Amino acid sequence: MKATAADVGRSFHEYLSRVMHGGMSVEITYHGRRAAVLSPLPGKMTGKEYATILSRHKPDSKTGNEVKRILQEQDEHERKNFDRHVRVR
Amino acid sequence: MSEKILIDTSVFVEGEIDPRVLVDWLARQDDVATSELVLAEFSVGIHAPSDPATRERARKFFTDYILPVPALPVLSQEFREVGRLIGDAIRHGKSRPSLGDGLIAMCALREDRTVATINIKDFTAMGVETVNPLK
Repeated sequence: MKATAADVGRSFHEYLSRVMHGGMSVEITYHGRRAAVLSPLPGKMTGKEYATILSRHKPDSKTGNEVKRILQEQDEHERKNFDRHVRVR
Repeated sequence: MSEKILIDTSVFVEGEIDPRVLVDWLARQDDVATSELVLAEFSVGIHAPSDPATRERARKFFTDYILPVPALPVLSQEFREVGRLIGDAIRHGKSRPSLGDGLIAMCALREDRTVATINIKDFTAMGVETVNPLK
């Protein structure tokens, strides 16, 4: 949703509540120009909660190793490019 | 051990290969999160495979097993500060971290989190606490 800086200033707690509890972002305009965004931060998850979720996944070495290979190649490519262009000594 | 953890891309990939290597370790952690930058890095692995079935399986893993994890944002000022972190690591000859790892490190330092990663060297070189869940 959008709101002016004046509106947000007048009713800050109301807007903050919508962001925190409603999960919405507020785009704040100032003198007609887009100035800032008020967005929620992510919630908390325990390791045990995530372990329960992840344990439902069936091992998939074919896909995982393909993703791993692609990401490693991309990482090496970026490092080579960085060395070529920056030439750090 | 129990601390605030930021899960790196490399750990999610190991979880996709075989989640059993991570589950016991995860269950001992109080608070786990990841970074929006990690989501971006893993997304490359969703779109790059030439085989459509592999792309679909990678997308499903991302949706079902990575997106549920709280993802911490990269703040705009961190794009201006990350060069110092990476540059210091290079200048001291410790490592040559990627831009992506630099932004993940910025997020971990800001949130006082330990990075769970297979790539210990690059994160340690940037002054971040690390843990390798596979060891």
